[in-house]
Amino acid sequence: MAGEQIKVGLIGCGNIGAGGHLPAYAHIPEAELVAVCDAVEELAHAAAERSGATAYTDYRRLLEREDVEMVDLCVPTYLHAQLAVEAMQAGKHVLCEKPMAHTLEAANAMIEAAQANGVKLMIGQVRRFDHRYASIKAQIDAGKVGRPVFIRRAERQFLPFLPDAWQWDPRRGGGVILDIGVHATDLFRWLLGQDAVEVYAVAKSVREAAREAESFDHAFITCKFDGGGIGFAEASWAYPQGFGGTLYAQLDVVGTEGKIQYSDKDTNPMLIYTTEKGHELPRYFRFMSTTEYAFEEEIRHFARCVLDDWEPAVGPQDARAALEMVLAAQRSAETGEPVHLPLQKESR
Amino acid sequence: MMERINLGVISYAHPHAPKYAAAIIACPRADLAGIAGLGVNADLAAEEAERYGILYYADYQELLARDDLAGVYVGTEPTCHLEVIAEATAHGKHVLCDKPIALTLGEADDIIRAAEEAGVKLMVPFNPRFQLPLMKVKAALESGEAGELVSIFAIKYGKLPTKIPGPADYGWLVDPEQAGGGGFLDIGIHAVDALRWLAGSEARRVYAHVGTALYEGLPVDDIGTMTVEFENGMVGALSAGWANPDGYPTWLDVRFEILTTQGAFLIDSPYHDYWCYGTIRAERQYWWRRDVDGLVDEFVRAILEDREPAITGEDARAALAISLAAYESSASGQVVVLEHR
Repeated sequence: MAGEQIKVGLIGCGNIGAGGHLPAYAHIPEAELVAVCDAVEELAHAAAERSGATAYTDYRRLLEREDVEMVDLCVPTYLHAQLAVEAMQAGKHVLCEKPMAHTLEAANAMIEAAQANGVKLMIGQVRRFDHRYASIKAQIDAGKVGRPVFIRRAERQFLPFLPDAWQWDPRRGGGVILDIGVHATDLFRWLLGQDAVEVYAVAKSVREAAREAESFDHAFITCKFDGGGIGFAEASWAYPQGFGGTLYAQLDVVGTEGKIQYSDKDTNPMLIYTTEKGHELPRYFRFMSTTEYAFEEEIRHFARCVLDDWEPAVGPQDARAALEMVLAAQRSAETGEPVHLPLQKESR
Repeated sequence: MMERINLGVISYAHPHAPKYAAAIIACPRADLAGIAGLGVNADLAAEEAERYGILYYADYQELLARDDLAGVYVGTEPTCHLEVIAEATAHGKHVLCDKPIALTLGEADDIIRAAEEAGVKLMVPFNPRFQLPLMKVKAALESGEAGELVSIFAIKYGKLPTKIPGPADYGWLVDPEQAGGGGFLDIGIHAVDALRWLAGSEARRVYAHVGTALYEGLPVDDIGTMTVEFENGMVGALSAGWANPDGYPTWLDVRFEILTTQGAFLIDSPYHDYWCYGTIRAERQYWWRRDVDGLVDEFVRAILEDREPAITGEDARAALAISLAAYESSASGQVVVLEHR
């Protein structure tokens, strides 16, 4: 209903929390950011200063606040399930960053906690809220390319973090297959409207940081779907710095009656020439992977789900399926063999 | 005076044949001495010979019998390659044989052996090797300035060959008996060769999905995807086929997205082009197919300089082996491991 607003606590004030989500709240009338939390005190205080919210370093204190109805989780992947479950047990609705979790067991625990506590849970598969992909989805739904049969996706960047960052760590972040691959697998499911039956991946450790962390930073993932569709993705943190900034994404949808081609290069309306730098494509968004507007749309959608009792556009089962596909891709990259879904528990 | 040689064209079955006839005429070191019709589109071959004012042969053996002929472009269906090439090499003619070299590795071996025994050049024209952007990449890799090659994410799409405008009949390309495969083999093999050429290494593991997804009832595949790992660690990820809809502004859609340890190359089109807007359609026009000219020039130089051509029968056999492995992987659902002799 108009004029209604829910109070939000943001947990995790790192790259995506402070850089992506926090600034979005200033533009979301349905949500008021009242609490921010990070285990690193300076990050919590900096976020509080920018937003006017109260700073916490212990997320439990934030969860104790009765006025907080919604928790926005932007913590490392391996902490998602623990924090989400605790927040839901405290009666909070949870918007949690992607990938949903680092294991299927953890994802299952999140789904069960949402059901048991009667709260809403949405995973931030933010591509679905990005105007580019929402527009492409609308074209497909309008039948512009017939039935989509093949999707090719590239998400490539230079991950700017040091080797000890959790993103590189196979146990805490899952490396590039889980962290970036999950965008591709969710996009495939969403645009094809089918479920995956087989996943194959070849992955490499290209950069020094990846080799140090014993993690993959470059992967090709093939997904075969039950309706015959194929998804083919390159997910990479190994592209040179600068390249990923403005040339992050590509998406091709091949259908029975047409084709859609999107690339950041083609969509960039401007070239800048300077004597110093030669020519460059300007960066229009802080994260070229995700526009500021996409974060806004995503958070706003979830706030409306809470206020108006809608079902989130990306259900927990959708996010779980996208996760299952990247877990299969990770296993395939490790074993060198295709992996069939549903994913069986490893025997070891 | 520059040394010149006479070349002939045998068969207009292959859609590339008219382009090679034109490129031979344009080549400063070669003359087109005659065109032989063989199989489908023989009438088209005769018309072209008349238009060019050169001799037309209804029997290709008569063309091969000419003493002043140095070599031939063979544009028959691949199932006829062995027979025609055996005749050509027996006459001591050098052979530029369009792809795929054959439909089986055994026939490819026989073709290679025929050329070897006759002491003639055998070349197969894979266009990407003579496309300027990829030549730049190859040079940067060879000089070391680009570092080590990590991976190539490539696409090679065309339109359905039966939709090629004009009177020619290219129906054999969608007949599994004559073409051996569909879009993935027909157009993908160019990119397969490019992956191997840029990698400078042999393929080791192949995983692929190849199928008929776009044209219901088509007796051959129309699109395929393949992941191929080379012995030196390079990963190739290719999608190829007849995926371009009628309304696409070019016949081809080619991309090579190349990551090296020193940087990346993003190649969006094989050729330089410009836009041409009509009242209904917009088309991107290529202003030069430099690759075809380059391929013919390379074939001619290899003959004149008596050296191996840049693309050999063995290269063509290796590209065929990778393509066939993709079909095998797609059928079995398994990774296919290639052995090398």
